[in-house]
Amino acid sequence: MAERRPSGINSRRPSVIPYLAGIEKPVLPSIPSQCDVLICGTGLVESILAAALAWQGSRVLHVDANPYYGDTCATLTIEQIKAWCASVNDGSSGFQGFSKAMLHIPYPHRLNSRDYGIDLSPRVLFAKSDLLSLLINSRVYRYLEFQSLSNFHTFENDTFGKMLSTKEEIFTDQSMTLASKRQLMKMMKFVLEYDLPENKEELETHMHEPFTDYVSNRFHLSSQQINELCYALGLAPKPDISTIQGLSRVRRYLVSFNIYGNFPTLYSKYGGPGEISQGFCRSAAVAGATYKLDCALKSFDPDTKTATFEDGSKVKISEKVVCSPSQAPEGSRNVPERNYEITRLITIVEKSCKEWFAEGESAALVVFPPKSLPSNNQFPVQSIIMGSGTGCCPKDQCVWYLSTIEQGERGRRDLESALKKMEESILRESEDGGFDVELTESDVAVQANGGISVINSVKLGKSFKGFVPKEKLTYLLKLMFTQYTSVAPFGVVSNAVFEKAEENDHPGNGPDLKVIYSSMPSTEISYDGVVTEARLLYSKIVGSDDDFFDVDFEDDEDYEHGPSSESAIVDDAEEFQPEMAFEL
Amino acid sequence: MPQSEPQRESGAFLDGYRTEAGILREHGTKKSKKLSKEAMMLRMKKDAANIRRYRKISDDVLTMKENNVYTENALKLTTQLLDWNPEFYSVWNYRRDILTNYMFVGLDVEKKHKLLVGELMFVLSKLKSFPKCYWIWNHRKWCLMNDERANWSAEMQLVAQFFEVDPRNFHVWQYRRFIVQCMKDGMVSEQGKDLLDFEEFAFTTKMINKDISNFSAWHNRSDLVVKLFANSPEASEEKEDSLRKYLEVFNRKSKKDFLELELNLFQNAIYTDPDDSSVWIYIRWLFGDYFLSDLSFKESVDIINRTYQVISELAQLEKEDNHGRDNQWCLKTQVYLLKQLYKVYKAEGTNDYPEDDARQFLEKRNRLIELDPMRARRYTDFSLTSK
Repeated sequence: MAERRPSGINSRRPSVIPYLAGIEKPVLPSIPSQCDVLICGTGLVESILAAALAWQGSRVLHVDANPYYGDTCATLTIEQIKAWCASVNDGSSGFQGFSKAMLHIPYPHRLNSRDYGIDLSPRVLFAKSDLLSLLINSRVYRYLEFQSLSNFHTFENDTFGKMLSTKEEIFTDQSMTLASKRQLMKMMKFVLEYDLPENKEELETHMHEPFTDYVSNRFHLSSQQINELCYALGLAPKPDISTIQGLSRVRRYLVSFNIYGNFPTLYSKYGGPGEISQGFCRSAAVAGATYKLDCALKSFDPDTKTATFEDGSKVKISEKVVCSPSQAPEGSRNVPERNYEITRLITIVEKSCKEWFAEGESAALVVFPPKSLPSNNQFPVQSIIMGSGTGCCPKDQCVWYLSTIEQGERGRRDLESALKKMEESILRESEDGGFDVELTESDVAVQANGGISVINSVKLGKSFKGFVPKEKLTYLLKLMFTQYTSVAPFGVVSNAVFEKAEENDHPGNGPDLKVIYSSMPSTEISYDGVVTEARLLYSKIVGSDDDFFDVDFEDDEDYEHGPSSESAIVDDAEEFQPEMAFEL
Repeated sequence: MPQSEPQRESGAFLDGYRTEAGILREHGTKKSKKLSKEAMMLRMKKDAANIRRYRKISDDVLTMKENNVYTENALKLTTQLLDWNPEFYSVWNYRRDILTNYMFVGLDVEKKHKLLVGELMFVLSKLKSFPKCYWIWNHRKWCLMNDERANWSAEMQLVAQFFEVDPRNFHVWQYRRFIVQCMKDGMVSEQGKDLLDFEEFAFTTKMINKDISNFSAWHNRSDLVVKLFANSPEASEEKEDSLRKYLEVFNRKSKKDFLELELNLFQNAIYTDPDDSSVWIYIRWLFGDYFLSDLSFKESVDIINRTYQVISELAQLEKEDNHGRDNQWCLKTQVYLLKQLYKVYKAEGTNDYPEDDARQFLEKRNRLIELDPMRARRYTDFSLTSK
């Protein structure tokens, strides 16, 4: 749905939600004179909110100051990235919440802008999560394509490890001792059962102690296993998590296995949150919401309940105005504090990176636990690797998204350090032949003094520390920036953020009086928390979230399983035949 | 992913994920969804016309069945009715009568094959939504038995597809055994038949590795072991190391060495999941009379004692980890092993059964009575000398 490609709607035409012409560039004669709720910014939270409100029956006007959808979590082309950086550094209105964008494009002629879809806040979707349920219930999934992501790598001692996390892997592993197999399984089991009554006492005793201490004492796991558990499976963004936090995070991973197959997470093709935002916008539009891009809020007058836009048009609002901090009107004074930072480094490399992906997949996660990098990082560095199969970059290239909650220069240093490790690693792993290559004479160097043969070390071990790559990795793009959010790392969005609008009722206090602000994308690398925030905003506007997306689509999917006519029998058989690919 | 609409299965939206091929997964899912009263009434109202239609067809079909009506129209009506309700086994019976007494009449092998292929398609479409319905599987078997050109390897592929969705569906396992038997019946070479059994044995290993809780796989394994001890293909055929070890054991007909190999496997399994019943039940079978009767006194005593030791160590760990709670599967198996050991001594005609073992037996059994009062009487009746 991004600008760079034609909408896929023709091939994936939904049966319930009708085909919508031109939603990407809606042709609107003018803004309606009246609406119930005005939402500024088409980020993911705002888009889910818009759809929920529209289906509930509110008249929604949803605008964005940018000429594209997605706002703080947009999926952008190279040209859009350039413009975005310039706006962030200018401090243009509409770009609040970001700072210090640094863009480096060494070979501009080698980048075809529209071949790329770069996410400003990339995320992965757990197979068992509130957003996925919502995508299915709302039928928004029909606008999207999903692919699986199973490899969660942990960087440790200069190599990437992958934790054994399924019963099958643990049972068939040849290297682990029986005792540690048992402990690991016990741990996994406890993760799934910690809230059962018989575990209540155990949980209450240890709930608040550090997770790492708990698993180490209780299950005697090795420090490497603990790191994998905490930072890879749990995707913890900081080191000092409590036992209860750790358990719930690891559980999230485990329960997501085997929902759709042998993998825990998914991502949407052609771009992450940006694509999903647009899916919800589309759904909102079907339910009657009005869309306008390139439309920035100038001010809101709570007395006359009138919003004024930069182009001079006005709209009367009967309920509320919700605004993303990134799109706050100029001179705004009520934007909530955004005390938490995320430093992001996005690169496009000229390598397929297929060595990191599971078979048949195009994406992976790599996590650097605290203190695993030469920069002595205090916080983990998380990275999402998106290969060309994700539809986000051309063949034989790959997009790496690195992020950390470490602040300022330290954060940037940690990301650079992790990037270097990733570069070394991919060069090492994609080295022609790798392990299996046969040694030729030129690999055996004869030392001048004693004549002892030294075999080319590169070919002896992938994890050899003194590895000197034969080639350099080519970076086609490097983008570093800082993003701010009101959501604490690991925290859930706080209702207090939205309450601020109500507190400030002295007249004449800025152009954004009584505007409810959302929180900016959280530091979380999964989609968790997004639906919660949309729900909170929804209750704030509607009064409760009881009817949040309580939509009864007419052709109940269950019902399709019911009695079918005779012709359906034939259809079924025909459908099955090509898939079976054998003769009966 | 095929871009066809509508996408029924919730998993279908995933690009590249179509292993389900539209087969419903029933393992661990509830049979019926609980509807609220209002929803139920709404559905009843919605369904009223359908229910009337269903009753009408059902009455018509049963009347025709009674009057032995064998016509094309009758067949068509059974299709409609079974499409609605594949659990209606009388109708499946009637359908077979129509096929035998009317449809098959005067058909040559080729034409009959074509007709049955159509029948298999119908059966398949029903199996996809009802993978655990006895009558449908039964009808499929009947079709294949009546078709001289039945394509067994296609059926094996079908089984593989069903296993992708639910590797624990025992209907599919049973069907697989049926297909394998049919394939064997069609073979001339004895070596080929034995090889097929061994391939099936290797398949159970693969399925157990995937999920040690797959009781059907363990069960099939025990079934095949008996067959392979009777007849096994030559070891030279097998290249894979671990499988060749098994094959050599079958060739030598050495049940002792087989137990040694299995000891390794189940030890790994009980350490991975000490609460999984399927492994423990398999261990019981391994130390049953089928094996012990072929082992020498010394061999039996040795392997039972070693296994007992392995389980005792696990039991100890379990107890430590679970706040002093015993793992009942460990206890049960220990008691069972001690009793089997007693049997071995008895068969040898000695009275040297170690006193310590007798004491252990009582101690563990009494612990079971304590832990599992519901079955207290059963354990009380269970003594070293009881049958």
